[in-house]
Amino acid sequence: MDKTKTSTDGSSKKEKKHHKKQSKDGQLEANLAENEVSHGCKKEIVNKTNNDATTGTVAQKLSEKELRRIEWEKKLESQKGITVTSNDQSVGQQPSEKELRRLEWEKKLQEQKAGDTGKETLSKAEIKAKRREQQEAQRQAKLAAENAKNAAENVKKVAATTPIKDPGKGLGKVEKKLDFPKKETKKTTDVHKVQLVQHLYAEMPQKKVSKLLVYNNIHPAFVKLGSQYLNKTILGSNARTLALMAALKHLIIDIQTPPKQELCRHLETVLQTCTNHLQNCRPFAVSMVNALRNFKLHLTQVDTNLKDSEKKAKLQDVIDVYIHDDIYKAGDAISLKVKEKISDGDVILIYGCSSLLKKILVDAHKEGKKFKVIVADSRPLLEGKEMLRRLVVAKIECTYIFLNAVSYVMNSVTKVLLGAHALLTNGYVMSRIGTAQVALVAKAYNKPVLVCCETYKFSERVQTDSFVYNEIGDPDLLSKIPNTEDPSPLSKWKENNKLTPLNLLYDVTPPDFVTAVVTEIAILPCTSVPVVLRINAIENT
Amino acid sequence: MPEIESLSDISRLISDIQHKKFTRSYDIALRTEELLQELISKGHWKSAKELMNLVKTRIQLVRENLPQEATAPNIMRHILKVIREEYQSASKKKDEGQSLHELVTSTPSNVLDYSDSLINLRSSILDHLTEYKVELESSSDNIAAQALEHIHTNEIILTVGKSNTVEKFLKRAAKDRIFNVIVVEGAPLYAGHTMAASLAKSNIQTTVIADSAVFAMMSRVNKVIIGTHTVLANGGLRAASGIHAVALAAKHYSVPVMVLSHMYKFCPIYVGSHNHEAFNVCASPANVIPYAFGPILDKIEVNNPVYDYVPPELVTLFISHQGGNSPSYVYRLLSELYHQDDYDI
Amino acid sequence: MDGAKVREFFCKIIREDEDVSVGVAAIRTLMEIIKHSKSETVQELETNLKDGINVMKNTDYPVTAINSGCELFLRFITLAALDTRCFSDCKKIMLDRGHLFIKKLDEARGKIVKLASKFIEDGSKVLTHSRSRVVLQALRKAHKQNKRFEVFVTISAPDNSGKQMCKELQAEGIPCTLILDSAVGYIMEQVHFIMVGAEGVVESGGIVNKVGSYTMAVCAKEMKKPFYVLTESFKFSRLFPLGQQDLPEEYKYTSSVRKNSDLKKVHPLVDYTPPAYITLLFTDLGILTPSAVSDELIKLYL
Repeated sequence: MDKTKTSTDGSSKKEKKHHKKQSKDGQLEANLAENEVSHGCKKEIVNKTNNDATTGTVAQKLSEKELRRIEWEKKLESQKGITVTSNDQSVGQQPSEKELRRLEWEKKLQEQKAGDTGKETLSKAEIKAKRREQQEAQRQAKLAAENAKNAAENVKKVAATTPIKDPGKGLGKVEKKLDFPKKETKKTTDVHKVQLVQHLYAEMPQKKVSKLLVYNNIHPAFVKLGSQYLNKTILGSNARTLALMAALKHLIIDIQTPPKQELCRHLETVLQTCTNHLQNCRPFAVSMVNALRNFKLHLTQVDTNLKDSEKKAKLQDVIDVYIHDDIYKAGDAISLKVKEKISDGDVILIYGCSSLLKKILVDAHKEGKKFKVIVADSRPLLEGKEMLRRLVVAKIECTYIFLNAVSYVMNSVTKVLLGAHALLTNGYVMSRIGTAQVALVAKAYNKPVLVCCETYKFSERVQTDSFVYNEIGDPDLLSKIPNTEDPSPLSKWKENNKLTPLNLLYDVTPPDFVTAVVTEIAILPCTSVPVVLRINAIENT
Repeated sequence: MPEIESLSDISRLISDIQHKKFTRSYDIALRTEELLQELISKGHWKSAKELMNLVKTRIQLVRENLPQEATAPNIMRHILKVIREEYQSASKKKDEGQSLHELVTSTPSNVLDYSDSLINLRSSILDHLTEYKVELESSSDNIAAQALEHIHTNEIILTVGKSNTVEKFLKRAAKDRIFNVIVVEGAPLYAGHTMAASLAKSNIQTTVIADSAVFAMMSRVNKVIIGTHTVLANGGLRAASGIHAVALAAKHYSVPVMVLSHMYKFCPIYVGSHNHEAFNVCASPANVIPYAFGPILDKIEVNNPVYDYVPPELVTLFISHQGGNSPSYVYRLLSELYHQDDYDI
Repeated sequence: MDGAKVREFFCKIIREDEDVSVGVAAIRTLMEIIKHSKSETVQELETNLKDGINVMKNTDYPVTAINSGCELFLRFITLAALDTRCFSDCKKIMLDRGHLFIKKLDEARGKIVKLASKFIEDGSKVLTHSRSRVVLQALRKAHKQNKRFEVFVTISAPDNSGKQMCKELQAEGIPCTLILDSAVGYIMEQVHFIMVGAEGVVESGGIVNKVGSYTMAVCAKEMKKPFYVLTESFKFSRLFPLGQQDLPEEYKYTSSVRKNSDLKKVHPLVDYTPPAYITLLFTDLGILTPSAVSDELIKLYL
């Protein structure tokens, strides 16, 4: 690490303090360093820092030549949208290395000549070199694309075949290279798509993001967030939105505007790449989309005459206000309203895990209301267990059942409380899969169903069935039976192309099953969602 | 004392059922039939009345010890009817039935006593019993033979958990038609996994979903085909837990629900309220929350019911080896299977 | 027996025995007619009986039960008449069978009560309409079985017979609440099931009962509460009404009302509840689903 101390870039040191993973360190520095290439920083230093980054988990001590070679490779690929992660990568690249290096040098010379204007005056030789460069890039891209096609499960990364600057997509291809040996088994999984929801498989995230991946332009907080989303460490729309806002704050604090660029515009572009990365890990929740949209709106409204630090403070303030008002305060208001509806002796049925519901029940219990809670849960996520733990800690009397027992207990239930992922404009409630079933059984027994949802989760989308827009989870979660030693008969589903487990994550509940929706504004019927959206839109303009 | 000794056969059957030695109701049916064969051929009885009393005591014993068990009592009730019929045909007397017609035309001398001892009674009952056994053994195939009448090409069929009858039914249809099957896994027993694996082996395109996805998938399902534990006298079902929710979802999307059931599952008992303790039984909660979950286990209650009540308006069709029937016709099937006086034993 | 005597006999039975239903009284009257009949042919006997029936229908008692009971009895006469040659023998057979028939009818209520009381569970809330002797007996029996339950009775205008029902229940010690006819919707979410009697059961499996039963049945269906009907089997009739308007007028209004007033301005006494709203019928033939009623009637008449 001492080698890097010669760097003139003070901020890079600060970042090192923030981030844990060295690879990401190096990446960011490489990123910044690249930005400064045109300013003529010493490349040797950059080489070494990059080298530290790429070989984070490998021994740091490599010869200078090696380092330089690796550096050039990376530079080239990053400019063409391909990232190299290990030294032993595709052999096919080896012969053209020298050529690449030469081309790189020439390019750099040109850039230095051209200066800040960015215009390049090319000589004949340079044109030829440039063309060769392009051909080279295309050849490599094709190679990578082939690997991607062979190893992938229908990922719609068409972008892999064309050279792009976005490193986020690049990492997708890199992963395919790593998965090379598994090509044969993955081919059979092509058939394991349920016809009805084929369009959803394309959005499925990659499995197990490799540790060796390097992200060029993405803030480390977002990288971490992405992997948390992917591994489902963070579940629940409120939690995801809060995590997103926190990462966004980090980004605002850390961002450095390049000269001749405005902070807000730059932030927008950086944010775009970061959010694309997150989308690839797991499609956005409606609440996240709304939160981001709100942030971007304020971003455009920031006064450009302020100093950078003032702008940053303002933006952080925007985020804080949003979190405070639309999430925490809304939660308090909803909790107050529902508390009035809970009477002593109530038996309340809830499904799955919702931070808002937990808050409501704990608050009502603190007030001294005497009620019992039945927690209904379902496979494969079994989120109800988490909810159960939290409620028991709060000393609420609880019963735990699986979804199949809902008909059995429904007679003794007095109210049903459900959380929501989003509320659609036609009155449908989009929520964790299984919610519609609970509401259906409740309706059959004439029990009132209350859906608790903050207004920031309202969406302009319209949906009538659960297939058009949904998320597919990991099918292996279904095929594994918990708590038993023996493997499930389904465990060999991959080999049998007639057998497919389907793990959907969301479903939509029709408004006739829902008695009322409790929001911070009022207790509304399900069909009043467009009214609220309209009012909110007027308020924001 | 011969009376007390002779109850050992039924006690053995009861204890076997309690210890879950039978995986299918069909096995229970065969065992009961064997027991009855023993009783009729070797038992100490002289008249039809005595034999009926022997059978009635057994039915009562089963109902006391296993309130949810329906197969064994149903078969014994059917045998009672057989005995009555054979007696009537042997002694050439007609029985006083229960109908308006009988009400109007009965004469005082019509009350049957069943106490004459007739010589050929034993052999005629045994013949009838053998016939019944053949019927039992072939009923599964007979139901499966109707598969092609109900499944067309490119259908999406939903089934819940594992039922041998349904499995046979679908496999038979798969020989001639191509269709998709969605199997609901049926936590906490996960019987759906075995079902799906077995169906996929027979080259049926199978998808496995969790219980929570039923409502979401139901809009695209063409038919729901399920098995059941018992069919109640009003046409309702006592089926595996979770099937009520499936039937409600099917009703919401107007998807027909077809129930495959053998005749010995038709029970002449009306259930006043399905919350009655005798209706449902709860299994060990360890399948729902393992004991290793932690100290909070003593602060919570866990319910793991085995059965579900499905009201008759949610069922579209019953398919038995005799063909299809609507739930409103169940009373007729019952009157053919059992004698009115035996409904309440 | 002439018309006046018939009427006198009929009304006497009803006045003297509180517990007897109108239908059984009618049948007993017909038996009297046979006993006192001086006719020599079956045809004449039948004409006498039909005259007697008309007389009874012209009293102000509800016609539904009279109709069905008499129809059944006539059928029974026809069936009996085929057997013998001599008329006096025939008459003797008829009388014997008649007594048996009446004995069975008397036992009918006991059977129904036995079946129905099983469905009344401890802690249940029952809703009933107007006054029905069978329902009253069923509730009494359940109470004797030491079950604790609560009963809601509608007042059932215009004759307010619900009040009497309530009094009788309270005399037994059963907690009873009188509610307005219009409060049926309000009370429906609290009750567990509804039990009513019936004046007649029609071929479709539906029932004809005191006006207000239809409303209660529709409300019960909407709130998913079971609707049980307790009725004796002799009340089955061959009628098949298509709607409320299709019910014959003699059912809806008493004879005096029909003669004197403009029917458009008078309230009907009964209404028709279609079989879709009925969960189960408890009869002396056993517990029947509405579709089984038609089965029984077909067996009898065809």
